[in-house]
Amino acid sequence: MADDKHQGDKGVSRRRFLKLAGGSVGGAIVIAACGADDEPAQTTAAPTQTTAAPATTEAATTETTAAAPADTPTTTAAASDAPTTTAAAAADTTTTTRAIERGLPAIEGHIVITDPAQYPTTFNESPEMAARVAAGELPPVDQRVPRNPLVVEPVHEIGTYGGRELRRGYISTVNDRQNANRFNGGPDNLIYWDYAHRKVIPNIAAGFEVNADATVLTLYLREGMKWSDGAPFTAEDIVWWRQHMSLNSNVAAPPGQLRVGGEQVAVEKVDDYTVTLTAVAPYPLLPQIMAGWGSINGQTITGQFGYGGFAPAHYLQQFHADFNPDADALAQDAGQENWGAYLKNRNTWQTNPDLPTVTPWVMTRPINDPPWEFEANPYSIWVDTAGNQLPYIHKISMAGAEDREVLILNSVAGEYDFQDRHLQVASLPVLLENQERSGYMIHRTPGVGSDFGVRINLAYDADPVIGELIRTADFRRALSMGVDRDEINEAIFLGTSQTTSTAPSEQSVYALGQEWVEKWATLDVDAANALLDGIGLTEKDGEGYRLRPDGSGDRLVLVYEAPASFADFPAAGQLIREHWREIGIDLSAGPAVTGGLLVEKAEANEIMFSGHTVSSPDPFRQQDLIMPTRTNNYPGLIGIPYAKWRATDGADGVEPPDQLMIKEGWALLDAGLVEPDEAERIRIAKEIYKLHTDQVWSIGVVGDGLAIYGMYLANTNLGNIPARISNTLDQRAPSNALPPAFYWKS
Amino acid sequence: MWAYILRRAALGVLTLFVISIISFAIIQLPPGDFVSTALAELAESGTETADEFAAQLRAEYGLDRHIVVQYGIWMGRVLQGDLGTSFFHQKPVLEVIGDRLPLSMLVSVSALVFTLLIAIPIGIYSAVRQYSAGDHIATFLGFLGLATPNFLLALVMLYAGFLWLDVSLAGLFSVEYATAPWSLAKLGDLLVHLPIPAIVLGTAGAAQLIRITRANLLDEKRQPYVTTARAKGLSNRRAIGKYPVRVAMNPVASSVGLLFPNIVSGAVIVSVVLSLPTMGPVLLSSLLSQDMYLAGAIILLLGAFTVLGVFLSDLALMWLDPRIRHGNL
Repeated sequence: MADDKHQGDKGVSRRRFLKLAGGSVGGAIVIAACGADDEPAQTTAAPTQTTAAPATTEAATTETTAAAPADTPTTTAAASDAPTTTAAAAADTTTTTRAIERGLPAIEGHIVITDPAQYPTTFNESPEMAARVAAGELPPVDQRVPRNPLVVEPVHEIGTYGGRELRRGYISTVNDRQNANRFNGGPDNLIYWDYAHRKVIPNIAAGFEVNADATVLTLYLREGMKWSDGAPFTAEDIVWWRQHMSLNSNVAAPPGQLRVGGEQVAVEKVDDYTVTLTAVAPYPLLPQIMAGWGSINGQTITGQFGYGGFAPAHYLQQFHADFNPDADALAQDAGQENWGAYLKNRNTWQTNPDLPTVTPWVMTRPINDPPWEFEANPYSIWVDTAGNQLPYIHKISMAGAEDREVLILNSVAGEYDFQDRHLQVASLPVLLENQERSGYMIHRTPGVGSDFGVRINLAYDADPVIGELIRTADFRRALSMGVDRDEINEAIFLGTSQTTSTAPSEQSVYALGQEWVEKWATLDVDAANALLDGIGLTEKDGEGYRLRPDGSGDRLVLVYEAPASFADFPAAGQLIREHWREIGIDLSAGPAVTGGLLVEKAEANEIMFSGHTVSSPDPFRQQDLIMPTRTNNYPGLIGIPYAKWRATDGADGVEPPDQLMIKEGWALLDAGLVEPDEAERIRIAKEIYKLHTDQVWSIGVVGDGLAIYGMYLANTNLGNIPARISNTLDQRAPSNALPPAFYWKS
Repeated sequence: MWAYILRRAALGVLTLFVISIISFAIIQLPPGDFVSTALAELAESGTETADEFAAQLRAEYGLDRHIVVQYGIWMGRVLQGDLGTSFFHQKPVLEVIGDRLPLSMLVSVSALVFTLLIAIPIGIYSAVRQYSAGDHIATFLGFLGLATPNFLLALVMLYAGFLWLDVSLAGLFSVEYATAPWSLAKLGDLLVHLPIPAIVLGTAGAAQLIRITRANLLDEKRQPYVTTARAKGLSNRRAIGKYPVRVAMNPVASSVGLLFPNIVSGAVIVSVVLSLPTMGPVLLSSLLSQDMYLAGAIILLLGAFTVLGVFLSDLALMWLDPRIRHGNL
């Protein structure tokens, strides 16, 4: 029965979707979102893709299976491999069915070859590189790539060198530093996810191994691999970073991802090409953490904070006081406060063209002097199965737009060859309408998990009466059932998302089924009113709003705050305000607030409800949106005092009351973090999600939509563009589209 | 007379000092600082930060010191001609502004020229042919121009340019010239892009100026000396053009001085919408990210230009009006 209803829901979104794909929408760009009432005149692109979809999936699956046995033993611990594959396969079926329902092609991607027998034996290079070799500026290509390069089989075919530069866009007036690392950056994780987000595979490192009790992770590096300046990349670069940057308080605070059981993870060199990471307690999640997004995940994401997991020791030593007594003077000459600040400034990929990197393209013109430009790294370790050193396209030029609307207009005008960042759901109609005219195609790539929800500050106590209500489960459930998710989906997300509770996405290995997607999360005004009456909120004022339960006679007023982020979260608050009127709750929802203000208010525990993404795709690796574990910053605003209590063993902060069930959640989290058996870990994760959804720690509204980098625009003349990629932050999407393999078809 | 000039100049310096304090205070007014904004952005992109991280960054940026000390350090540097380093752009403030100030001036001056070229003839026409069909049309268009928000006009023009001309009119240069050194071709490219911001920025000003010109001229037209001139057989063109128009121009001329600060601020929103590489977008983003040395420098410059504009108009008035010169007023 639940299933029937599920199908029905999907039908609605699909119709809606085709309408978007096919309907022609007139009007100026700003009002594009309001003009979508044309009848679907032609439904061209989307259905065609649908027919092709099953075939593509099969091909992709076969390829993966074929590649799997070929994996060398160094790739990953065999023990933890089997459950992943099973779980992933199950999830994949759901994803495919779902994708077809929504008129989307299946996820596809490149294959990383790890069997040395299949490695190419001779190498080719681009004409630009050949010219530099001829001029004596560079050694020949077979001396530039490592002995065991990163061999990839491109998604569609072997490409060709040549053609013009590839044009992208970024916004030069906001912090858009993370723009390039998700495309031009490789990615430069030591180990990385496969294209489908199923398992961790080698990347900058040639392989890795986890010991039986998951306390030691061994990384194997590539012999003969070089930094972009030609210096060798060895174990020293990882150990030096650990010792002299991450553990030196003048440079950085030790990253939390390398701290287990209260102790720092020891990073040691075994030989030039082998490094071990040893934890005092089992740390089975370390490979997944290193493969994802965070502070040990490559120079290009967090190098500017002294993080990254490795650093060019040979270059940075001159700026480090332990190696150069004049480092402070050097920093002051450059206008920096001290050597630590200058060292990080020099380790900033976005602004320092001299910084050696291991990315496929090296930065040649910095972000603060638009256009931001990149050229192929002569020492790139990426090679296709025919032995061509990647990237195929020599140069990337990123134009600086002053504002998001301008960037979108430039996209519509076909001024970018590949763009994903900053394209918003509200602009989808106008982007689709101009595909043929401007020679690009929009690929839709729904995210995994929440697009929007209401975060509840469970530890709110600025107003103790409201705090007490917030800590009552039935109050939170009633609020959740009072939200008209369909309306928010249609009005804010153009119907591209799925309505949901905080339960994990159907695409996730943790999926709990439709029952949980709907738990406390379908509009039911009567049930919500009954719950509110049941907890004693029976008194109402003349306008029908419920009164505070303290007998003051004042109206109960809740407050919602939100930044304008991936979508118009403040406007969603306005809709919820209307919805909650029906259950007698007065919600104050104002205009957008800035992130800085939210951080300040969160740390002062002054926020009641806030609009943003809720929950997370993984309870162990991104814990802070599931339950209070963060003691700072606004993702922690679901209960910073509780997180402090936990972090300090009760010395600081506030103990969560038993009725919130947070302690049960923490216990599950602690158990899952050290559980080496993947199947058992998945079981624990599901328990956490059930607790979260049943307790309504946050209010889930919509998810699995296009709001968060859910589409990419690609010039139709570019080859090897996957029809659809897996859109996760973990994979630094669209890095998993393998940009170095893009090429000009003509 | 010199005493007057000296007094004005001294007052100007004092005003600048007060402005520097106010501008520093304005930057500190919103909750949080550059570090909390940066932390929020990190959180948005999913990067975890340790508790100690914020404190460490604040120390590096000097944000952990008392606000009076921060002001002292800033002022000390400014007096030596060092406007500090922009946190966000990671380069000296002077470099950030230096690229954009001349272009801001160019855009503002072109807009002003456009305003004058449009507004004054139309204003004169409307006054001379009061209540004619032409006057009504001009008035209607004028009010429409005044009522249309500039940024909306900018968006509409951008979209129209894309729809019918198939070009992106945003920015001041085409992509190929953006980074090229100055050349005749680049200048030509600039001239192609300049009309859009000039028209957008000039329209609202034009509407206002049409009304001012029309009202002044209508007043002047009814003066007895005009009637006399006409009675003596002067042609209409000469009777209106010789004196009344010149008198009607006075308030226009004096308001030009107050346009000085515009050179720095540009029209912030329009510049953002049109993606102009001028000061506006930088001011906006520096305030949003609380990049205090950059924002401080721009606000200070804004103040300085206002003070300078007022000082120059004081001098002009002194030159014009003997009563001021002799200290009787």
